[in-house]
Amino acid sequence: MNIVTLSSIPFDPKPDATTAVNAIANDVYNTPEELRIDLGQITRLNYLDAEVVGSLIFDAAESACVGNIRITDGATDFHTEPFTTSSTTRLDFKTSKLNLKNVNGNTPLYIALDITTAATTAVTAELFAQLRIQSPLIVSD
Amino acid sequence: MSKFAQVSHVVLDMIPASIDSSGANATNTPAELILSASDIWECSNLRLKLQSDLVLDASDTVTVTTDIKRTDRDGSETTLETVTVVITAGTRGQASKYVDISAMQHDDTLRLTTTTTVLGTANYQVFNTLIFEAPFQVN
Repeated sequence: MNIVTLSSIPFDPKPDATTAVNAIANDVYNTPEELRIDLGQITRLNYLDAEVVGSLIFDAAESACVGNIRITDGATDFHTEPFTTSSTTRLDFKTSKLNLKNVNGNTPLYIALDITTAATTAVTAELFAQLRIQSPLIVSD
Repeated sequence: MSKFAQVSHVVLDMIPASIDSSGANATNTPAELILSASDIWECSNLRLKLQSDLVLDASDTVTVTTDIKRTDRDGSETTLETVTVVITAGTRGQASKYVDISAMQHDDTLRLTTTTTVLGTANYQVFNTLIFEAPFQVN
């Protein structure tokens, strides 16, 4: 018998819309501490199939902006997703499969936004993201 | 005998684009947000319901349909179900339907497309949720 669960966990359903992206800096946005994802007992599973999907929404078409979206616990970055935008108000992204094997169940995961090339106009961004996890289990007679 | 159940809510697009009063920019799931959860299609007894929540920024009369579409490994696309939300002189409405996913296979993906069939003058957004119900009984 095959049993599979699919979980979709948002990092922050109403991200800060005032995050400026027209200056170079790391951690211009982090998931608020209370909204970070504690995987808890899920980390005990031998097999995890996880990815992060999301959207970066700008309040106006920015001229050009380059940066990274990191999935991290503050000490270890489990994935870094680079992005480059040009004259757009929306960027959607999907990471490759994440290796969550070494995630501590008691250490909350969060997303961080770094800007490495600043937009040349004073635009702000909202970072929507969610963690999708498949947890398959096979029960044999 | 052991019983086990799981209900999961999956939102493909957390911030769906606003559809303006022309209806011309009906929304599709962005390619990066398409659901490619390959393992779950091998799960027995799985049920899926599509729930649509239509939100207008002003009272109006509109009809919006959302198709849930399966794409197979060859790129062939099939509409599995259509959910229609009708709002008559209001600002919000919902509808839901169960979706037959019995034909889904390992490499298949799901995406949603939204179309306006009755136009109004308001702007609106469609928030769609996929609800997976997975009950199991091990004898």
